[in-house]
Parts: sequence; C-alpha cells; structure tokens
Amino acid sequence: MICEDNGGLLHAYVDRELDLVRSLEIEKHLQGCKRCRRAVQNQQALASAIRGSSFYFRPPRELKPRVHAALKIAKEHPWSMLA
Amino acid sequence: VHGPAKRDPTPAQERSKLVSFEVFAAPHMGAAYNLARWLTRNNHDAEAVVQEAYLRAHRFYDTYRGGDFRAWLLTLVRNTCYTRLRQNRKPSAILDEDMAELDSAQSNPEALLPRNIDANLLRQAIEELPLDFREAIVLRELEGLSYTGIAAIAGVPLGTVMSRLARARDCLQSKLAGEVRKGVLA
Repeated sequence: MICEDNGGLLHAYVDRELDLVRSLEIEKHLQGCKRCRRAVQNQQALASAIRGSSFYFRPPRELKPRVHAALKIAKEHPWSMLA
Repeated sequence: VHGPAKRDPTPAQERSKLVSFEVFAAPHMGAAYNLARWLTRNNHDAEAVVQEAYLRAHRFYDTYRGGDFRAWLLTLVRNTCYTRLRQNRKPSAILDEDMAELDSAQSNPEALLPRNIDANLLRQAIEELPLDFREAIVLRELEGLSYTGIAAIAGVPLGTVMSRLARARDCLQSKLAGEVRKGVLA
C-alpha cells in the first residue's frame, strides 16, 4: 500500500506531517522495503540540498522605501489604490 | 445601535492603521519577495507583485482577523502573482507547460541521488517546475510551512498539497538523475 500510493505518504513521513501511528507504520514498512528506503533517502538528500543552497531571493534594497512611499500615497489617495 | 465603528476613520486613525500595518508587514517583505520571485521568475515582476500585494494587504488590513500574518500576506502575494501571470500570458500557456512537465515526470525510485547535488542544476530544475509545483516546493522547503499552511495559501485541500509535493520532488529527482546519467555517458 505504501509503495503504491506514488510516494505521497513517504513524503508526508519525511516532512513529519503524519501522526504517530502512521509514522510507526511507515517505519515498520521501511525496514523491509529497499525501494521505499531509497525513496526516503532521495527525498532527504533533495530537501537538504534545497535548504542548504542559497536559493532564497533577497529583495533589492530600494524595494522597502518604494513600497512605503506607495503605501503613503495610497493612504492619502485611497481611490488610486487598486487601479 | 449606531456605534463609532460606522463612522469614517479619522486622519489619526488612518495614520495609526498605516503604522500598525507596517509594523506587521515590514518583517515579511523578504518572504513576500522570495515567493513572488520564484513564481514570476523575474525580478521586475516580483518587485511589482510585492508592491501591489502590500497595497492590497493595507487596503484589506481591516479584514485580517489575527493568526499567522505571514501566511495571510503570502496568500495575497500568491494571488497577485497568478493574476499577473494570467494577464501576461496566453490563457492556455500555464496549463500547457504543466502538462508537458507532468508527462516527463517519471522518477526511477531505484536510482539513488548523488550525495552532492549540483546547486545550479537544482535551481534550474526548480525554476522549470510547473507553477503550482514550484509554489509548493518554495513554501515547504524555503518558507518551512506545514501542509496545512500551504493548503491555506494555495486554496487547495491537504491531499492536493501532498500530491503536488510528491510529484514536484519526482520531477526534480528525475531531472537531476537524468543530468547525472548524461554526465556519465559524456
């Protein structure tokens, strides 16, 4: 069942989104299933590669003052806000 | 009963609303920009989206009922991105791209990913993901949101989040494994 659900449960397991009973079921299954163990390893490798890389885009420095100015204008001229 | 809530806000109340909004919203500009940049794949569009989303957030600030402010703001950013992408592209373009990606997304569960995944390949693979898959990956891996949080922002059921993440990761693994194979054969 776990092997055949297209990995959704395994992903939720690695993401710690399952309750304790489900997690224990998965762990029991993993002991006897090499294919799912590999899938879990791959998912962990992928997640740590994404988190470990500098993939987070930082806003340019001028964005904050620009948004602040736009908010001030919107406050003074509320009719222009959602144009 | 006619209470003071029925009256227009005074200038002092307006000023205080703006200050209160900015206190809440300013720390989340990084998250807002990051999501907008990944979804639009373009600096200029991302900046425009953040500005528009902040204006909308301020406009609808009265409807914010407490809870996770970042999630509330990211929902507006996400929806603003989708509106902008729809305006800038042919109606079928996003869907076509998604279908093409889905057809090619068949990872081999027997293959093991290398320990050192090439960051450039990975970034490119994420950028090439269909929009809703990219959104799920960014919210999960870069913002650290729970499935429930992602479901609320994307406006989809929990099961959809689960399957989008699973399929997005399959796409990524398949692309990375393909590149590794190409490297071996070259």
